[in-house]
Amino acid sequence: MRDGKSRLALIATVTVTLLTVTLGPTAVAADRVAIQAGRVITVSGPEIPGGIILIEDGRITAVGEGLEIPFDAMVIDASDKVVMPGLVEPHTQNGLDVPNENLPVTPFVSVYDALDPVDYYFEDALREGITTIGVVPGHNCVIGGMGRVVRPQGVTVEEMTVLDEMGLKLSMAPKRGMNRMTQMAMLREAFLAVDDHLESLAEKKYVDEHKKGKEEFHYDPNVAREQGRSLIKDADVEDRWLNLLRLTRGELPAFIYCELAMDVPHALETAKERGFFDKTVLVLDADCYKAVDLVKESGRPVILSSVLIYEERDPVTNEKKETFVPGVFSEHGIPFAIQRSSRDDLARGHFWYQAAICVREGMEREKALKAVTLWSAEAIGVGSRLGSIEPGKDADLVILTGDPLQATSWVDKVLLAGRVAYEREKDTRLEKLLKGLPAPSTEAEKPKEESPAEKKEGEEGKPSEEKPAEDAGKTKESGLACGSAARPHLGAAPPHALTSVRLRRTPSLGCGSAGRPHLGAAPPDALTWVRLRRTPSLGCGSAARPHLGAAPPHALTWVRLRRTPSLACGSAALGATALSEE
Amino acid sequence: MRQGSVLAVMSSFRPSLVLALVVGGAVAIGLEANAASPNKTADRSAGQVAAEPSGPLVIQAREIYVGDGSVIEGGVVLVRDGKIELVAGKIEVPSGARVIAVEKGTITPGFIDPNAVAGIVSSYSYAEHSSEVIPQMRVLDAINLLSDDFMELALSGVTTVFVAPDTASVIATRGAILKTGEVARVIVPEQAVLATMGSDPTFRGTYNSPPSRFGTVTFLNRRPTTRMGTVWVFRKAFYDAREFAATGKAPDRENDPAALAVLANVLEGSVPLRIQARMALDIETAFRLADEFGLRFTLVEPIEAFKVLDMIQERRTSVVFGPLFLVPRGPRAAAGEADEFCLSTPATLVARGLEVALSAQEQSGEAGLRTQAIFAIRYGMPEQEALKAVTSTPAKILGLDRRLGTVAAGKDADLVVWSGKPFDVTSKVAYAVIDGRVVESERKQP
Repeated sequence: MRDGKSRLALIATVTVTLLTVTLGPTAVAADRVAIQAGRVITVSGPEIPGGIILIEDGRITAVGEGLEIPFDAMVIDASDKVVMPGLVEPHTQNGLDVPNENLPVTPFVSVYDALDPVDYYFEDALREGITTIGVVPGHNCVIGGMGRVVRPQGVTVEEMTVLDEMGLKLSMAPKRGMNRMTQMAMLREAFLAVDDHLESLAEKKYVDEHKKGKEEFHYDPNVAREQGRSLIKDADVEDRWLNLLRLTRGELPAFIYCELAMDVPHALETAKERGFFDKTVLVLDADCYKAVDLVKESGRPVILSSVLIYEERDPVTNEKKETFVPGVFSEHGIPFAIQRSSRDDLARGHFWYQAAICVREGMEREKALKAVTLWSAEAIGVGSRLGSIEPGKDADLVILTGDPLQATSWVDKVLLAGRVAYEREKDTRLEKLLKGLPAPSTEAEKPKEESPAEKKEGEEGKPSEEKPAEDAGKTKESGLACGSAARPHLGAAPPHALTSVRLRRTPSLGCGSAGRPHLGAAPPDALTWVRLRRTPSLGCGSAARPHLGAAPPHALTWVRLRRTPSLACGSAALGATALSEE
Repeated sequence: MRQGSVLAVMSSFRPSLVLALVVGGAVAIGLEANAASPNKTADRSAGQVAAEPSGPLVIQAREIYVGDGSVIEGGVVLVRDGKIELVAGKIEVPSGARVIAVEKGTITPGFIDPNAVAGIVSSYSYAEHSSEVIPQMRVLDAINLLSDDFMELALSGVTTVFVAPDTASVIATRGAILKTGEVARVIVPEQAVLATMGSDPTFRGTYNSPPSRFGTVTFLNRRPTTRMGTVWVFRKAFYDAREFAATGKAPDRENDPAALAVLANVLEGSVPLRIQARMALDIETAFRLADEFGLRFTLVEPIEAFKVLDMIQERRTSVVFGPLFLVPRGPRAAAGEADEFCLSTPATLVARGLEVALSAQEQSGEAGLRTQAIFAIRYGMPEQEALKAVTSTPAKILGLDRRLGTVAAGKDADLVVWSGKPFDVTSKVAYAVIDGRVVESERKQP
């Protein structure tokens, strides 16, 4: 590996050397974190009052009461707070510049190429406590392309990625300008095209295999097509059909969008016929509750739409009928993920609000919470890694000021793989949106669940306690307070670095400034440099991600000139690996 | 008339347009002629329609949120003849009384939306374009009292609404106050006059004012076209009204004498005035105009109030705020007047000691009035203040605080029984009571 990329290794070596000089031994210290929680909502099991969560190298190693905290662990005191697994957005087009191709059948495209890591959406997601996002092409397609599961942090798609091949998006609802008959015809045609391609490929392979320099070679095409099949390798298959071929071999999940109940049987039929039934996830719009029996019988995972209460009108009497859609699935014992409405929706744009609606409409609280965490994670294929607080799972956690279903609760901190990715007290955008709040009537009140109105008042007043933007020094101190001793690089951000971010009104950068340690620790001129060139993706990563930040600016430039962002990201990481091998 | 004078000026310059303008002018004149003839919808003009009598009702819940900031634990409310007869710790249940008991529930006053858009058949029947100054007209005439909206409002806990005039006019129609339910009941047929600062009167009107084929707003189909024009129309109207009040004669200008008569009442203070002003500059303008004519008014939807807090506090102006939004949509997005906002504005206004009522305006369902209150709380308003902002404060703004807004003996029995705390998203309306009658719905009740 190193032979082929000697220049890369060189950069990496320089990088690591610089790193050692600047950061010293702390950079290689074991990454242990302990969270002392007021209450842990594990989702998979019962809630643990006063629980402790131990995290090592980004994974949860233990959760329970009275656990011993390792001496070298960074301790996060959340003893007056509630800890729950990060929320999971199972199916979204947000973060993509354009959700769909113009062409109807595009199994060969991937959201990888359209994902914008610095989209506001990802910053907002952190603020909402969303830690896992299934980014999938939109509904306006026949076969839309490959989705990807990402975390809402990172400067390259690779860094964000949790699962690169989330699955192919298929839609049963007609693409704009089409109707259901053409839609289905096009879908069948796509699979037939794969068949055709494989046949001609088989024939070609058969001929190649048997002709072997003969002048004349006669063969039965039918035999050739059949026997040549086994000679085909994936590399021979045309790129545009490869994903679809893998889908039919059951190697990829399919996310099939059904708009109406009538689409559900078509979806299931197609999946069965084409061999990907076992990998199918149904993405169901509200009307599909009418096909609940079919869904139940199929046993396939379900992602429901954001419309939890579905309104219909009788076409003749105009009488209104309301259906609580998740309730229908819940009553049938079907696990489901729920979505939120667009994030600019005041109420239904929040997962906590959506879950609270479920409880309001009579669903058990446990199910409502699973529908926005564990069941969603399972539906998008990351259920073994994410979605609940269990030993062995990734430490993607949310620390809330109160119960998740209370409107007065706020996301206080978000951890991604055991690292603090968001802190409310450093969220300058939120601070701006909530500015001018009156001073709290009661000081230092610890928020408690079911607390009387006056206490909530105090809790709500909190944002005003936050330091003003100019007072970056103090902000830095609070950053130190939060476990910086274990991670000196966190608190080490010079105050003017924070200020410079704020002054430039770049909330996506500003928000992360301290919450995203790698940014805050960057020297101010590095930030400026980045911004001038409008390449925040490169600017990030500087110190916490030593491989990038420690690289001399010209190295970065070198990388960028060659337009190889994936290399830029990996470059030092690869080098570092190589070094440790030595 | 107005269109006519435009015609005269225009025809000398652009003869080719004359035909179109003649048609446009004719339509406009026709509309005004219609408007001038008195409206004779009997039951609506008659004013208040009496509530049907109802039997005694006893409501019991864990808590009563009175609506004035106080909370009564474990109270009982006795309702008779549409009025609250007694609020007490314990009572003897009168014979024949219906008893509603929600063990973990809360009783609140019925919510009041002081700036709702409900029951309007369509926007085409709502924004009047024959003139910019139309306070002689009534929103009530565009309201379908049988609309589903009112049942939906009742079931979401909103028992009284002020149906707001459309903001497409500089001085718009007078709003109506209704009780919701299966059939809305008029309690004040003509209440406040709404004036609008800012760009609503200038950019609206393309879609329903003839001649529409021009596509954009021009002086041919719409005046004014700028903030300057809006202010001028407002000033001219009140100037004329002042003259009308002094001389009893309408100046021979564009404004309808009927309109001036209403505005004279506004000047005198007998008809309340509201001014919608979203941006800080419009709020300033509103205060300036109010000073010029000695007007008191309620400030509606001051999105940028957070920039001029001192100014509002100094005048002690009451405020109707809302809806809250994360990204502006609908009319306020189109107006371009909602680019800068602060989520904590209602909380800040309350903290400044101002009377603040919340409104959901055109939004309903999960964005309705209770959600507005929930998010006002989330964004910093104390819970009981939020309750006031949807009960007693709007009652006061509507001038109905003697009848509505709190759970107190002698007031209208407009009550909501919530399955839990009123501002928990997980609780819902168990019962809505309007004038002592339980609003029955087909929805499941706990």
